[in-house]
Amino acid sequence: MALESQILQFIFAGITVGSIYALIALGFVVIHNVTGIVNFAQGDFAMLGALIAVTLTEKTPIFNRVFIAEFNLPLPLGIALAVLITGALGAIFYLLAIRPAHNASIVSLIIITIGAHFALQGAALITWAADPYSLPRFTTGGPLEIMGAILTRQNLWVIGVTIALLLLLYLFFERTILGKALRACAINRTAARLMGINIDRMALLSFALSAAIGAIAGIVITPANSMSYDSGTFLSLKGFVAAILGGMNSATGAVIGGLVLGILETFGAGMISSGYKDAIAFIVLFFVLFIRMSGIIKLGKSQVEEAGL
Amino acid sequence: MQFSKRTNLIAFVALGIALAVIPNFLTNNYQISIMILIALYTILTVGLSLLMGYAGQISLGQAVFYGMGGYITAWITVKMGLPPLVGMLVAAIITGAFAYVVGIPMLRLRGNYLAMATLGLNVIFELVVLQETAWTGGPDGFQGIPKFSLGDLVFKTDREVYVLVWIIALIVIVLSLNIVNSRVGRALRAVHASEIAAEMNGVDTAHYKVAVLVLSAVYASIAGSLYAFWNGIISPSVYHLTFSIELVVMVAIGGLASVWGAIFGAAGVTLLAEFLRNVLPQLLRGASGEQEIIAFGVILILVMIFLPEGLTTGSLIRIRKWRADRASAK
Amino acid sequence: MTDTILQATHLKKEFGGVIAVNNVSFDVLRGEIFAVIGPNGAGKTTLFNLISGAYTPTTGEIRFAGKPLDRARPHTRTKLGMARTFQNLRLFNNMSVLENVMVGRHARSRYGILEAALRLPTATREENAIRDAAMQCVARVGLAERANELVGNLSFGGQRLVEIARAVATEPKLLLLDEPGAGLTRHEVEGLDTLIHDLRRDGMTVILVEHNMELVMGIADRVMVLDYGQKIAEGTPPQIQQNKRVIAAYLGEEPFPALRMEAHDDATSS
Repeated sequence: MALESQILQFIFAGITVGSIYALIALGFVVIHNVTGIVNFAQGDFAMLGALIAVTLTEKTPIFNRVFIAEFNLPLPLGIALAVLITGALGAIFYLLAIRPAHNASIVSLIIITIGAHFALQGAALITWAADPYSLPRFTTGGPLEIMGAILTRQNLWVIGVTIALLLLLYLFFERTILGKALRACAINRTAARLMGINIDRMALLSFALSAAIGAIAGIVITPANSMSYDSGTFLSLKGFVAAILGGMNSATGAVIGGLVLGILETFGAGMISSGYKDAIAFIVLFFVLFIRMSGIIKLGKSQVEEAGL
Repeated sequence: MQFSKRTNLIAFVALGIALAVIPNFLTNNYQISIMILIALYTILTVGLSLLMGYAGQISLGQAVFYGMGGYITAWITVKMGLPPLVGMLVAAIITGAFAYVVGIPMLRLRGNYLAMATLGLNVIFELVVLQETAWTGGPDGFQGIPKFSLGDLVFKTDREVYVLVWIIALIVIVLSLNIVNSRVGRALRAVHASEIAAEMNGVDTAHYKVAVLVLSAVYASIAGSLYAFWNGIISPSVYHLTFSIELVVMVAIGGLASVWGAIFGAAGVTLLAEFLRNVLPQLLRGASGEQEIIAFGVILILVMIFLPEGLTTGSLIRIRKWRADRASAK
Repeated sequence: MTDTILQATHLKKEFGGVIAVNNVSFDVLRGEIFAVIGPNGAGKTTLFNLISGAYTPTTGEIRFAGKPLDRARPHTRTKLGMARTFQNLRLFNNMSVLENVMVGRHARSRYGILEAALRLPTATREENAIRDAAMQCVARVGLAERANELVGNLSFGGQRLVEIARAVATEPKLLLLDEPGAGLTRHEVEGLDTLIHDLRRDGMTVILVEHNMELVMGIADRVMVLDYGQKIAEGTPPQIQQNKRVIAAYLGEEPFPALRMEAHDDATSS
């Protein structure tokens, strides 16, 4: 393969995987903006969304193969339901685990979301065992060839769904009252409450929304990469790195962070070492954190707050 | 939570006696090996409790130091043929130095970012161990690590190892209790409560954060060496990220700012894990894998919600409050 | 004794385009009580953060006992002989009153992790010295009986006193008090007044930021007034009370209400 087409191939792959990171990162940012919490279970919602979609559309053995689920719903309906169910699970997670701990410290909240990560992973293991599952490709047909590089139709789906979702979210945040209320919480929680916005309901909404976004991310990659109970861990980690790259509080930043991370990862794996593919995200993370810190920490916002201003 | 010196002394003596008696009731090697694991986890969690509970700095990468202890010990004893004690000491020094070097930049991060950075360190460590086969043996790991010995005294059987690991665990507990009840312990707790106020009162916060990380890393390295001597084999699966998180779970469940809580957490979580591992397959026909993690997740959430100070400290605070309320009601 | 303990020249602090402190210069003499006043948002707390090292100035210089502080971190400044309290309390809520004050002895003691872990005789000896010195400071602010209580159990006024005791425990040459009178009862403010005089008699220099004009005008040797980050006046309390710029800066905010009431009280009683 010519070098140019090889580079193009890396870019295609990078954008595809980067789109997923971007969606997971977006989930992180939505929750973090509204509640200040980093949800380490974010990637598990992607895993749940995908496995629920598989269960609804295909014959699936569940609970250690004790039962066989045979819903056999059409794929679009199954996917829509899976996204809704996962969104509801996000809301339930908030109600059961986050809301009762409303004034916990950051360390406690980290531990709670880690607990949720364990619980969801364990529940998935009990339900679907350790088997990998995948969905059928959304559309049939051969891959496209552009300048010698190959772009599968599922890649197009991933990129397309990401773009569509971003547009929808943009409209939601900019054009609807609910979206504006969420943004108000992100900008200033106290002021938002004084304006009569129900912070608790907004937090609930942010968890449901993030879980649903996560589910969509999980579903669109499952035809290409199979999904199993423990896939959530790395999706969480990569998504979080992408969110940090993007500044942790901006949706645009999260998307750019995701794409940059995806492309760096595919290039790194392709050109340097595939064994260290998963390390790339963290090397990038250290780099970004320390560069930002050297400039920011002395005058960081938290420091200013802590100094009593 | 601070206990009086007398309470600490009584608890320590009680623990010592219990540990001396327990082997008489253990009937098989499986039970003894569980007790050895609890000792190793105690060494790890006591260090993590100083770092996380007292100084308020989270680490999701403690398995790295545990792993470094194991691998460096293996290298020195197997490849270089030096005595086990040398392996353990050199491993502790190198691991401590490593913690110092990574700690300086990393501990300037806070909260979620520190959690993520330490977690990243763990992921990178796992990959290095898997990839650098020439140094680490890759997925197969190291084999043929000798038993720990001091001159002619060899700790060979599990019962002998039990004595060794618990003596070291008890030493770690004493040293840590002494640190907690000192100028240094106060400085750590001050960093936790308000970094800026600690700094303004003359505490070099950066120094203490790094110092306590180094201490916890040295503890972890010693535990890692002991594991290597005991097991004879080390492989990457032990140093997985999940193990780092399990250690945080132990400390959190036992009681964040309490040396005793850490011990309680290490014992409680280890026993619970073994219990679930034995019981779950009977409940769920054909259950396999680490299904007990669902129980951990739920317990962790419940503890954090209802007793955020952990089971030991949290319930003590509740009891004291209840007593005070009752006294004032009279 | 008229030497200068603190000298600030052309201090400026900018936060992303907002100038919180702008070109402020002043000298504080050894042994005096120097007050900084100004309307809300005038930059008083920022000035304190600059002096104590929580912030580094954008430009300008601070000299302490003749030596430039440059970028010395707060704990180094504490060691040099500077201590401060906070406007919104920053006590160590996980500790008792005595333990809080014992942290204040940190800069005046030295045993480290190793001595602590092995509980060497030096550690025990120093620990006793720390406890005794801290206890004296606790007693000095009148909290001896509550020394072993969790600091959170004390009233707001009590907690303020713990902060002062903790700062005093560092053996400061210069004590920075950030609104020590805020939230105190009238009775507590009187006690504070006496305490500050006592501390000065022991050789401490005091800089205080304060809103309570009665306290400031009664206690301060000199007063500096900040407005929008700039120094608009400096002088003795009577000079400040008559300064037109000061009155203008406070316009609509009722500059010295307490003082007027006091004057009124005096007139009726005599």
